[in-house]
Amino acid sequence: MRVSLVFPPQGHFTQPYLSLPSLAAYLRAETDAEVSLIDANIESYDHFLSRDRLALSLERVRAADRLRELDARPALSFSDMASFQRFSEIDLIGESVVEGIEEAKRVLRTPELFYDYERYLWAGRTVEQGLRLFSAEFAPTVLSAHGFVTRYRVERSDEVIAALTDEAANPYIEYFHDHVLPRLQREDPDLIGISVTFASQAIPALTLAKAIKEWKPEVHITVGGGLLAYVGDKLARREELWSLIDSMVLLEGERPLAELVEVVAGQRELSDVANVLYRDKASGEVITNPQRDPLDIKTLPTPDFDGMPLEKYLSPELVLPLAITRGCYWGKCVFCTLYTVIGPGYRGRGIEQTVEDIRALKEKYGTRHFYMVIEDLPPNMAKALPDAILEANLDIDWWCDARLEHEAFTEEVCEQLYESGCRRMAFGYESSSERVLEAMCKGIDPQKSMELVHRVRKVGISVTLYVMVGFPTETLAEARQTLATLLENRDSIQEVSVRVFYLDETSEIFRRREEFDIAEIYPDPDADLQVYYDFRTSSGMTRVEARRAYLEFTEALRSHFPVFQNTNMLYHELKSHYFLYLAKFEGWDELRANVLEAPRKGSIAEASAVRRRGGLVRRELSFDRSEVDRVLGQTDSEAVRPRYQSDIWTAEDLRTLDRETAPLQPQPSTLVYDAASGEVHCFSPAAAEVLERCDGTLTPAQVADHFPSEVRADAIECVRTLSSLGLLEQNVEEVVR
Amino acid sequence: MKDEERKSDEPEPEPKALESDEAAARAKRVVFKIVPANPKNTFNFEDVADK
Repeated sequence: MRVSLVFPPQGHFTQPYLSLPSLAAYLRAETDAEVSLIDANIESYDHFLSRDRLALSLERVRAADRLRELDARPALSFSDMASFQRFSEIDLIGESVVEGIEEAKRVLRTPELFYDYERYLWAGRTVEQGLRLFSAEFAPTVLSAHGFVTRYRVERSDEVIAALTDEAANPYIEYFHDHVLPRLQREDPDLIGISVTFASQAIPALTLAKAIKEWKPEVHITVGGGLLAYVGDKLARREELWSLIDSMVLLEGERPLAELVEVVAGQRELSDVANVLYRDKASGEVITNPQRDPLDIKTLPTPDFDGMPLEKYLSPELVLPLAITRGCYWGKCVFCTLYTVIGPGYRGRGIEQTVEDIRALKEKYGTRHFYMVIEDLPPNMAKALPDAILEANLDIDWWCDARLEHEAFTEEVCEQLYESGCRRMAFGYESSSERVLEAMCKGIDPQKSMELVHRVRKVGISVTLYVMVGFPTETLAEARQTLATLLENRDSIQEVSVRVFYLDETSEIFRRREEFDIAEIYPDPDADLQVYYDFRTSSGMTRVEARRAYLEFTEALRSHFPVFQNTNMLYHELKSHYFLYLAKFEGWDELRANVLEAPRKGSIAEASAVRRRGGLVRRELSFDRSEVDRVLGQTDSEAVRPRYQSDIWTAEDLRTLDRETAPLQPQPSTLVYDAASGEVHCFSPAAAEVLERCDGTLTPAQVADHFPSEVRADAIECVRTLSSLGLLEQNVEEVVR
Repeated sequence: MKDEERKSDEPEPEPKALESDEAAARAKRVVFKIVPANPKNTFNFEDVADK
């Protein structure tokens, strides 16, 4: 019996996910099946971000020559601006990204290069630009480090099904056919399990299932994972689904998968596998088997990463995920669905087992970096876990999520946590309003929470706070108070993850919505897979006001928190990159002083000539690209309509925006790409002229002489800006006046 | 006469104003602006959450 487990795109690329190794460990321990693992997520990134594949994208995008056509227009509509933004960047940087992409991946995978912050920033930018170049081939599809969004909405099963055959929008049709299918054909499995955790995996997962069924209709395909706990039963109503898959596992997959092995071997009936949903072949009826109590996770083996392509993750050192609990011990927050859907039944792995897991994984895979995949570190482990890690001399770095348990995380406990290698903790703070926290059933006091934040920070652990805006009944004043509190305490908070409240149909608040002044909900009649609903409250902020408040938050956070400033990739690439930097520099203070705020770039001497650096690529445009960025940046798709997975405009949105947005008139600008840093700048014509005159023969004053006397001081300031951006060479010889 | 001649030799107040307007207009046209060209313009702050 051969089983292939696949983690389909699209997730993150910095570390392996835990689902396949957990399932593989259980199957290898409990069955005779030969289990192979395919992380098609990282494999597809590695392929898409390759020199040859990006060269092909560039060729295909260039062939359409969209930029020339857009640039020649008398004015740009809103939708033109979106295209103009995309194609003007690619026209400028395409070749450099194709040439640099392999080196960028090498930088991210090599410790000596990764921790050189300038190299890291270049590599991170190049990878992002590579994804944008690849996406442009499939526009308006956007494939990013955090998602995969197409014009097909994942809340509608008819659109999901339509995406499976649209090669112009879905890059995975070609990818799976050319790269994953041949491997599966070699392995020739009897059972294939596809793990779907995120909405961004829905279309790729079914695209893969379709390719497999076209090759081998008789192979049993089962899909499982977090997403299906929410939408599985809805998706099951779609007739076409049953030509793509044979069964669906709801909730935890270990035991159902082991029993499916027996089903495929003819030793068990499908009707006898708990937590499975399938279509009865005779009657055509969709059957949902009964649920069984979740497994005691103390009985589970250590996750088994054998067969995962561990060398391919875009990270210099392996960070392994490890679940030491499942479910949430608190389980009361009314907005949360983890305890209502995914994990009824909180279970712990136990301290001794956790220590053994870490020791075993560390020895086997040679890494000392761990991400504890838990909803919240329980109070009874807050002291016991670090004590045990120290006692066992594990010598690791790790991070996890936790609740703001003021009593549990004493100063002594926090010190032990740091000593044991804990470098980052992420807490659900949500709001600084006692009223709002009480309505949420968070069970925390905002003042005590902030005291704890200071305590954790004091020992050197980086603090991340999750914050929510727009909880029903929350007023704008309450939201702004939360923001003010974050800003006041910014020396102790390193990261803030803010999101707008979503009304999830499986949450407690949805069930009791009248108590929260939710007067009306607006289901989308065509969205048969809808989980989140637009709604109206009779008190507090409206949805649009909440979205505006969110934008206020993001703007303020960007201005005041070092991690969010400029183009700080550490934050952007999140997960293991920021954590690895914290581990390398042994905490936030050193990281901030030595890396984030270390002086770099150049300065100018008045008596010296200024020369622009080599490797600058310039492109003159008929329209002001900075204005295009501004208009597109301020037009917020979520404010138009809350969506399950959005960030893309529908055709209807675009028609409205084209009508309502003033067309952009021509106003020249110049895009400048710095191949050394990977940065792209937009210059006004005068600034471009200053750059042109920085040819190594003129001093800053002489560069400015070209301009009217009223603006010469501005021109000299512009030279300084060029220098601070690293666009000028240093140490050019002094000019004799 | 002489007074009149002297008067006519003096710079007219009106053209002076025009000249400063022109300078202001020239200065307005000459803007030294350099900004990051950022397709997304923002980080997605929701992405910190472990998804």
